[in-house]
Amino acid sequence: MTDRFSAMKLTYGEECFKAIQESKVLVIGAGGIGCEVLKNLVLAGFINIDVVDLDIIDISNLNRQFLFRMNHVGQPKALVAKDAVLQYNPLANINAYHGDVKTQQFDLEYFKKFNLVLSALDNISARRHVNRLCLSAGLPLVESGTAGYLGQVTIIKKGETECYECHPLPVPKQFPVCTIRSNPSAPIHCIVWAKMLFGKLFGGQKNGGDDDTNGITDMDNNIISGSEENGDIVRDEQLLVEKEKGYKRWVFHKVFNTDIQILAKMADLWKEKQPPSPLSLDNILDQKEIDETSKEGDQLINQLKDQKLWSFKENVEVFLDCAEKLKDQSEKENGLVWDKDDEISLSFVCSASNIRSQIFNIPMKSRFDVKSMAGNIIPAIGTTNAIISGLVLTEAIKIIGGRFNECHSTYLMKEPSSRRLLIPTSLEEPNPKCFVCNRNFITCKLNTDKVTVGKFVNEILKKSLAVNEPILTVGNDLIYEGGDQDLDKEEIAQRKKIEEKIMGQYRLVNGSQVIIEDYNQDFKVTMNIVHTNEFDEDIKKKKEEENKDQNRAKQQDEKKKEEDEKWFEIIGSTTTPSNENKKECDATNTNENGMVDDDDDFEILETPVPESLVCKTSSTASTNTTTTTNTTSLKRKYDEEDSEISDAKKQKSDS
Amino acid sequence: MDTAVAAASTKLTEKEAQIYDRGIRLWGVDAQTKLRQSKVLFIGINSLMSEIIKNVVLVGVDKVELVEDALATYDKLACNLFLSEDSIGKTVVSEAIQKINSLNPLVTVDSTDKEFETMTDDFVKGYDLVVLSHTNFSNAYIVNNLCKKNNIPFILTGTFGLHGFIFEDLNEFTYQKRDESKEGSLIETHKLSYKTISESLKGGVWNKRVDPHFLVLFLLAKFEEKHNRVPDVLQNIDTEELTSNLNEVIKQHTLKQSEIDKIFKITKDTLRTLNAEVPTTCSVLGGIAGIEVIRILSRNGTPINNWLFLDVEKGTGNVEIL
Repeated sequence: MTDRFSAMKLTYGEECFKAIQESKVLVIGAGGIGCEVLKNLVLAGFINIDVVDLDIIDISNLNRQFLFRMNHVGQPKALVAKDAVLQYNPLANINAYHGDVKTQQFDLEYFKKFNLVLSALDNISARRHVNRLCLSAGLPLVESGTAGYLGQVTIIKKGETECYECHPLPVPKQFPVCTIRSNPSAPIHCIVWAKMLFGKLFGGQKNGGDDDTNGITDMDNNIISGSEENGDIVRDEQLLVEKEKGYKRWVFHKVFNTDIQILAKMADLWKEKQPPSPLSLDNILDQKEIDETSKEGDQLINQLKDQKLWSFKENVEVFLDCAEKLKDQSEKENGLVWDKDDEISLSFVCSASNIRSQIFNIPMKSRFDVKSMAGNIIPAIGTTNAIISGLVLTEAIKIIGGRFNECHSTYLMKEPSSRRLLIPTSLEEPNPKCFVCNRNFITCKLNTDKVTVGKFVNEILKKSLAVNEPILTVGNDLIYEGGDQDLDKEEIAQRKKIEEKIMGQYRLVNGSQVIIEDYNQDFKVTMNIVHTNEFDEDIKKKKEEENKDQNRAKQQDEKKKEEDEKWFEIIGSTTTPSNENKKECDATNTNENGMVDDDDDFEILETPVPESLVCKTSSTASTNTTTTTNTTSLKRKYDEEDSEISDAKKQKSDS
Repeated sequence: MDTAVAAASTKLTEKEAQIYDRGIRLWGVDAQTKLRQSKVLFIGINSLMSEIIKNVVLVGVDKVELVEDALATYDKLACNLFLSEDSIGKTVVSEAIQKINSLNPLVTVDSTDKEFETMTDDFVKGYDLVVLSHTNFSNAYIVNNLCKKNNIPFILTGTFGLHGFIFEDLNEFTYQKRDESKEGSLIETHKLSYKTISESLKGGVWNKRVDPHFLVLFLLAKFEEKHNRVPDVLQNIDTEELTSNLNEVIKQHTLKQSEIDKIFKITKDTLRTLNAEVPTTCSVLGGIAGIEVIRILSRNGTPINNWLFLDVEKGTGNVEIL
């Protein structure tokens, strides 16, 4: 035995091992799963490996991303991971790229160099991009994800299996807007509100594309109730007084006094509970520091600082301090984007949500808990990543060894479900209606007299349909070109002008057929544009109802509300956010960009465990993973005698 | 999370809280604090064990102690995370200690010398858990019995090519589990009783269908008891004996032919790759054993009771009480 691979050769056979050594593999992501996958590949004898990751190493990665050390914090993951795995086989030929897989550097030609792609990504949008490139290059893709104790591995291959976008992808948890704005009843409602407040106050231009809400003008509004016409207007004169005392006092008074007075006047909301009472900053600051909530004895001396629940007064002090700092920072940097890992931004959201919680008699939360909830953190652990990456390698070897027919999806449970900790399921056929892998037509309904080309491109094509650099053609005319690479300054300026046009005035009228392409993704879909104002009708109806009993405050909110309204619908796409259960109020996302948080600190299980599999283990299903009702059927290619398989079938029919 | 309550007895530092942040978010400060105070003894540092140790060291236990007297040779490299070509000629344990130190400097790592034949109670005392990598059953009986006597949880684990197993004897084991089905998620205390490995392998006729992997282990154990050595699968005569023993066992059960075929296939596979450690199986089983160690040390969540059998190609990991 002359090298470390004798066990591999014995177990998988010389022929398979030769195929392993000759293959070229692309690994996308060098994070939690990526580190383990790279290690496994090299230990299995893979030699030609490319790895792409845009992230740098953070201290909170060290609990699981075992290729990284404390002195690597701040360095690119891909490069450090490459150096680390070379110890297992110095002869391995690894190319590491610190970059974004969605850029042109990693185009179709680049993908075509490989035999196999292993995706170890942590966000939906990059997964969709890679999905399209692999379909287009005809490359088999091993897709994987983990969330806490749960994980899964599956295979995607054009024409043979369903693709990543064949079925609806999970949408982020949503809350009715009125709950967030007017009537919170749980800590999460106040946290979502506090993040929105952050965006309004400090977001600047970075706060959403064409959102032109100017936080500062709203800030001056001091109308509590009534209206000018009716002559019964009531104003909060104190707001102006506070404004003159400085920014932090002004903000505090506006959001915790003026706005609360407005809410308190809405009698309908407070039929069954105490109306909120506005806060007076001077009264709070005058209070002595003896506080009920936190100082419960000496034990707390040892407590971790983020675990500690701040007293109410501490929250107020933190809020004032952060508000001022963030304002300065926002002005310097021309707007801030909320980041859970930024100390001050997190403290601001934590204190703001706790103060609001206190006003509405909702329990306050520690900074630690607020970080989890506001940052949508799905904690990732090394053991789950190790299990999943071992299964990724298993499927990779089957594909490389010419045993594609033996591939299957595998789910990892938190605890055994009917004695099974791992559950294999057969691969599904492609969805013939898929707009991605079967290029089906889609229809987009929206108000073509109102929506601009820019909003259509950014919100619908880029965000909702994950088209990276859309190119639009109507008839024989190219009417819009997305990517920047091939355009000069003038052309980009020209495009800006087009973006400002209303769709209906720029060829995107009712009944038009537009072909949307992304050369990089080799993506092409034909979209029928249908004009409608039904979404506007919704708004009208709601307004009428609301005007019956609540008047003034709602009008103030009008503008804000419209932004959150559903304003388009896509038919035939597998990825439209579901608006089917129309609630009385409209919905808002937990995070502003309408996507699952793209945080790179953790891996998100995007394709959830089919419900039929988790029905017997309710505990596994109740993690904070975004779940959808993905009814992946469990039909098998396996031998009937296989106990695991037939049991799973039974479960399916039971459910 | 009952963070306010859980944090009361913590000894975690702010830096540890940063590094172990994601673990704390998953299992809570209380569990992390228990991990922080735990000492684990690992006996036999093969490839599978290197995966388990990596997983356990990363989550922040207090101390790991290693037992392994071999020198690093080419056939020991396999997929051992602690060994590279540069390790050849050095002791496995010194290489492991160095790698573990660098993996997480907050964890203490040490080694201890011990022959199985002369092990006494002192050998296992003071540890919160003993993990033994499988080489032969006589060693497993010795360590398991010592652990039983001293009320220390015991894990035995091994891989054979594409197959692997975990056996646990946690004695009388009490643990906590959050009942997430109820509002307010109540923490409930549960209790489990375990058998030793020799009790489990005592044999006889099993009433229900038994995982074929268990039959293989049963055959190996019986062979060892009779011959006082592990079978040499390169020798036809040993394989023949094992096969005929398997036929004996099968005769006592009413099994369908397809099941019998499956049992023979797994037996053949296992014997062929008895000493082969591959990264697929080691990564998966190392992860499963890793989370078991975390559960046991933190007494948080239901541990395996008492066997887990892995078939990495099929993607099955089944738990059985035997």
